[in-house]
Order: sequence, then structure tokens, then C-alpha cells
Amino acid sequence: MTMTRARGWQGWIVLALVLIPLLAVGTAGCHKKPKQPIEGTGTGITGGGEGLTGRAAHVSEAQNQLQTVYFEYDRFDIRSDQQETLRQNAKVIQAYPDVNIQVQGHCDERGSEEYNLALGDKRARAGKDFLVDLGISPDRLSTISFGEERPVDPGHDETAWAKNRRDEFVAQ
Amino acid sequence: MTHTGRRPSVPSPCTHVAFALAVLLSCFLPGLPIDAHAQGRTLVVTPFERKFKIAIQPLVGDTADAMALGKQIADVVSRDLDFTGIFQPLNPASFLEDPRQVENVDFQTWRSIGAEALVKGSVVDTDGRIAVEARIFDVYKGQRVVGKRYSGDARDWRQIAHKLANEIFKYFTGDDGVFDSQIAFAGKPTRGAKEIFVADFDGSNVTQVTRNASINNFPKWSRDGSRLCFTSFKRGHPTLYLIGRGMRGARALRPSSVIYQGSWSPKGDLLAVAGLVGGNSEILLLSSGGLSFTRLTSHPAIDTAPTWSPDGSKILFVSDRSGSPQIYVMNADGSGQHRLSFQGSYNVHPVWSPKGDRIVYAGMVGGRFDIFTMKPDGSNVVQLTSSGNNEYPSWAPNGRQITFQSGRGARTGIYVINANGTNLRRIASAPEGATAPDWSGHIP
Repeated sequence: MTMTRARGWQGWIVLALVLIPLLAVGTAGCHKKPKQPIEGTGTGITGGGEGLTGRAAHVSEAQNQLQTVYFEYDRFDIRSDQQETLRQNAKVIQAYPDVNIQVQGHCDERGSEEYNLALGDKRARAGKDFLVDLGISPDRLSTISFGEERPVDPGHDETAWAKNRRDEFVAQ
Repeated sequence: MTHTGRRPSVPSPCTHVAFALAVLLSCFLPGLPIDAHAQGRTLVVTPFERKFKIAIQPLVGDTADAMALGKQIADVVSRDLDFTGIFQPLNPASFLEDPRQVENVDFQTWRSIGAEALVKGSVVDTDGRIAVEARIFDVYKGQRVVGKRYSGDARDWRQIAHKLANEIFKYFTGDDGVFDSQIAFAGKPTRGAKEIFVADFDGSNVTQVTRNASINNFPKWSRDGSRLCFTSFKRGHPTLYLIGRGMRGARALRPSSVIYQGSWSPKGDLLAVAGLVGGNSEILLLSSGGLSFTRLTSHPAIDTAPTWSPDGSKILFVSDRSGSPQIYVMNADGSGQHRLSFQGSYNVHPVWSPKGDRIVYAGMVGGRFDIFTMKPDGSNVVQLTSSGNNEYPSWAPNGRQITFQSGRGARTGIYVINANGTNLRRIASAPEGATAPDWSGHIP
């Protein structure tokens, strides 16, 4: 197309053709609610996807797709029914090679706080090791334990406890 | 208690335990809370306990302010002695003698209300400085046995009261009192944060030590009370911090290391810590400068919660190497590691008594924790609590009492119990939700 002076209505079409895709990309992130990284874990990007580009967008997108993995009481081994979740997480991580992941291990409120700090680390480590076995580079994965300090469910029954015994995967 | 020429003495804890065991062995009456089938554990039956009756008169003063201070001092002394569970301060409404009568005391009137000891004194207030004089009388002997003088700022009256209470305690029991000690603990001033606090042993004068809006936990005093160590997540990962008595300028011991918690050697030159090494929690020795460390455990199990024997020769720790958390002991160089706890499936928080004769710990019973003590060889397990969720015990510096955290219903608080299971009391002025108490030594 030569750059001759466009007629008025053709100009509007060109403008529309440019603007509509931009708007679509810009608002795509608004439909999903990105997960907030937990305080004190590093410089994760928060907030909606509106207008994010490059790595920030990848962090946000990856975060939206990463899922929590759950554990048995007093155990840190990966349950067989959780392995598929980890495989899916591995695919997400592979899809965004510029994103790093912190695996955060948590415990329920029973047991002693000191022991649970160590147990949370073992859970985080187990999650990381599983991902490494699936081909993720260990340099992209860090681990941390919060013990029983950051429950998602403040309840005092098995339903709450089961939700709190977990690894969370935080994109950074 | 006989009225010989010797000074009256308070029944020692050994007498109480012996009495308790005699009661246990001699009868299984219906209604007594004895669990005869609990695998050899012994629930201590509250022994019949006769408390030492002491009359503490308001100290007299030459001005209205001095009189008020004199009454406050007497109140604090009474509360301190009552706190121990072995003294019974008598009701001042029953006192018949004028508090100004410090010479020629009429001991017969004091005997008539059952007093075994008597305290009188005076306060002189001069421009914000006070001079306190106190006299302790042995009522049965009919004589004054101790005279003390204290001076200081008027606003330090509480410290003076505590010193006097310590003097009284020491005279009648032979042991140091705890009234000059403090507790450190973790509290939740705002949602999502946990900060370190210190307070007097009875919960008064609560002071916030950390203010970093992160998770801070597991404060532990050095034996001389000059420093605290604690764990903080403020760098993003848990690591150990040290802070001096000024409670300012906490510094990380090894900032990039993941350290879960630590405790001071009795000499204060070393810290035993649980840290992340090779993907696993291990016990390490760190110098208090943080530069050198020795690894003491090398086991794939979780090894954590190290604490010291009072002579510094041994270290207690928790390990799940046998399948679930149990209490272990080793020499301070890591040799001779062996298991101490064999009753119950989950035993944690071991702490050696400053007297050296018992170890206190928390053991899980039916999904919640109770406080137990045992001998240093793991034998003679005695259960001290039986309700609530009781964790994180810590000894008083004289080994007579234990503080611990307890969840009862929806509330968590700091409690104290005597080493023989009697005198359970809540530290009411510690904030709601306070956890992880650590009892200091004597703070000069």
C-alpha cells in the first residue's frame, strides 16, 4: 500500500484495525484475578494484566496458571493424586522461560512451630525436586518455608488443615 | 512444721512430690485424676499443700506520697510471693498492730492471726528519690532476722519491691527468687505480623522489641540476660538475629543462611541452632560472632529445637529419625546422640532445668499437647497439665516454676505452673495471643 493521502473513511478503518487488537490485548488480563505473592518473598509482580508487557506479563500469566499442591499430615512426599498438578505446573514453567518460581512450603497448625518450619522446607524441596525431575532447571526454582505461619484457612478442623498443608508456586 | 530453734522453712518441692507419690501409691480413690493405664506416665495429684503464711504490712511514710508508695511496695511484694504458690500473704484487714511499730513488735498478736513471718518498713521520699528500709521478722522465733535498705528514684519503686521480695524468698527457702527476671515472647500486634516482646516475669511492663511487620519468633535469652536471639523472616527467609539489652539494632548472625531457631550456650559464647543444610534441618554450633560453625547432626531426618544442659556439656534436640518427633540428647560436640523420650508419639520443646535434675517438654496427647517433665535419662515421666493445648515450656531461673503457652478454647496465653504441677496461673497482662515464652535469668 503506498502512503498516499488516505481518504477520510479509510483512515478511520486503519485506525480501527490498529486500535481494536490493542484494546483486546489490554483488557485480556482484566478478566482473571492474579494471585498476590505472599509478603516478604521477593519482588514478584502483582496487579492486573492490563498494559503489562514482556516479562511482567509472563509473570502474571504464569501465576494465573500455577496451582497449589497438597500434602498428607506430617508428610512431605508428593502424593500420587498431586503429581498431575505438578506436571501441569511444569508445563506452565516451561512455557515462560523468563520467569522464576519460588516454591513455598506450608503446614497446618498442629504440631510444634519449630518442627513445622523444617517440615515446610521439606515440602517445598519435594515440590522443587519433582519439577527438576521433569526438566525444569534448578536455577529457576527457589524454596522457602513459612511453617504454620501463613494458613489460607484459619479454621481448626481437618477441612481447614488439609487446605493449609501445601506448596504454593509463586512466579517471580 | 515444728517450732524448734531453727528458722521455719517452706516445704521443699521434693516433699510435695514425695507426698504426691505416696498418695498415688496408697490409693486409687474414685474421682482422683489418675490415669493408671497411660503407659507409665504419672499425672501428678495436687498434694495437700500448706503455704507459708506471711504478713506484709504497708511500709510507712512521712508524707502522703510516701505512704502511698509504701502501700504499693507492700502490694507488689505480696503479689510476688503469692505468685510462687508457696507463700500465703495474709489479708491486711486482719492486722492488729500499727505498721509504725517497728521496734518491740508484739509477736503474740501476729501469732494469733497465724502469721509465721512478718515484714515491716518505711519509705522516705525526698524530691523524687526514695530511701526504703525493710525489716523481716521470724514470728515464731520472735525476732528480726533481716534488715535491708534500698534507695533509688521514686519511679523505680517497683524494682525495689521486687528486690525486697527476692530477699524474703531467699531467706525462707534458700533459693533465689525470680522477681527480677523477665519473659520474652512472640505476640501479634497486627494481623499477619508476629513481633518479639519482653515483659517482667509477671507480665507487667510489656515492651515491643521488633517492629518490622514480618514474622518474628522463638526469642531466647542468654543466661546472663544481656542478649536475646530470635528468628525473623524480615529478609524474606528465616534467619537468626541477636539483640542486646538496649533492645535496639538487632543484627543477623549469618544473614544469608536459613536458620529456624537457636539457643545460647550457658557461657554465651556459642549458639546451638537448627539450620537448613543440604536441604534438611540439622543442628549446628555457631560462634556468637557468626563466623565459624560446626555441624553436629548429619541425618536425613528433621533435627531441630536444640537447647543446652546447664553445665554446657550436652545438647537436647528434637528429631524425627525414628519416624515422628522425639527428644534426643547428645554431647556438645555432637557425639553420643541417643533418644530420651519413649512415651507418646510426638514429643518436642525439650528444656533442661537450671537445677539440672529435670527436663521439661511438650508431648502430644490425643491431638493436643501437655507439659511433662522427666529425668535427664528419660525416666520418671511426670505430666503437669491435662487440658488446653500446652506448648513451648521454659524454666524459671530457680527451676521451681515453668512458663508455657496455652491455648484454651479460642484464646492463647502465657501461663505459669510450679514444677510439681501445682499453682497453675495465667499471666493476665501478657497480650492475648502471646506465644513462645522464654524466661530469663536474673536481670541485674
